[in-house]
Amino acid sequence: MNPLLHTLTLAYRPFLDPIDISGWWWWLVIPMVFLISMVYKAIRVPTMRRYWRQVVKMTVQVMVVMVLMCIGLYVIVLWAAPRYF
Amino acid sequence: MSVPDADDEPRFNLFAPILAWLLPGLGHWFLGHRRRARLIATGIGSLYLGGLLIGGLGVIDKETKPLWYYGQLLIGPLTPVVNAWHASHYPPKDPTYSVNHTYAQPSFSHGNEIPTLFTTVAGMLNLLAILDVIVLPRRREEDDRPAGPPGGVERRAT
Repeated sequence: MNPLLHTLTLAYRPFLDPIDISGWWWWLVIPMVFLISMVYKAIRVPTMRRYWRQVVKMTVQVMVVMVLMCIGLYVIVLWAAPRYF
Repeated sequence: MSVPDADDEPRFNLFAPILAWLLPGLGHWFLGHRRRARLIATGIGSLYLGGLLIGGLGVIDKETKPLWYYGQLLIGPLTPVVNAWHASHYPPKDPTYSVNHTYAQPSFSHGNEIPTLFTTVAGMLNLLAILDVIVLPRRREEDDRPAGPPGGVERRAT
């Protein structure tokens, strides 16, 4: 078999073959932040009532701050810096 | 009326942090915080296994990424096991030697960085869990009980 064709037709082997995330790697920040919030709140909250609400709240807060930071950096690097520096 | 309970007092735990390192969430489970334990185990386990599924076992590599490895080591003894397996199944330089030989394909760029971050963050979160159970009362609130009144949990003297 052609080596290239052989490579293309190989089945994905979990834990052995990496997944190609080059086009969408930055979407993985959402599950990562959610899971971090899940563990952090499980450790930190004094009472487990409204636990999931607090997890979602922390996830949204982190994501919003990250998006705002992205916008700020975009403005500074691609708009303000070329004009004023 | 709240009644003081000896189990509500923070106490120094020696065995629980060891259990928490052996398996994420086991320290909380040992102390009676069953719901927290399940959530911790689910969250940390998902991050760790997610990282390994995305990047492969090559994500854990003491030789090339020692600092990340020590962060991953906080997850427990699974990390050195994976590292040992990976070290013994490292792809040989001669491709003809690797025919019919199972080894982890190396990952590169984002395919390596993101899973490395996932697994290391999982380890750092487990460090939080380990620190939490060092001084933690047994069943500090309504973990396995129905929700109590607002502002606190009524505990009955038995």
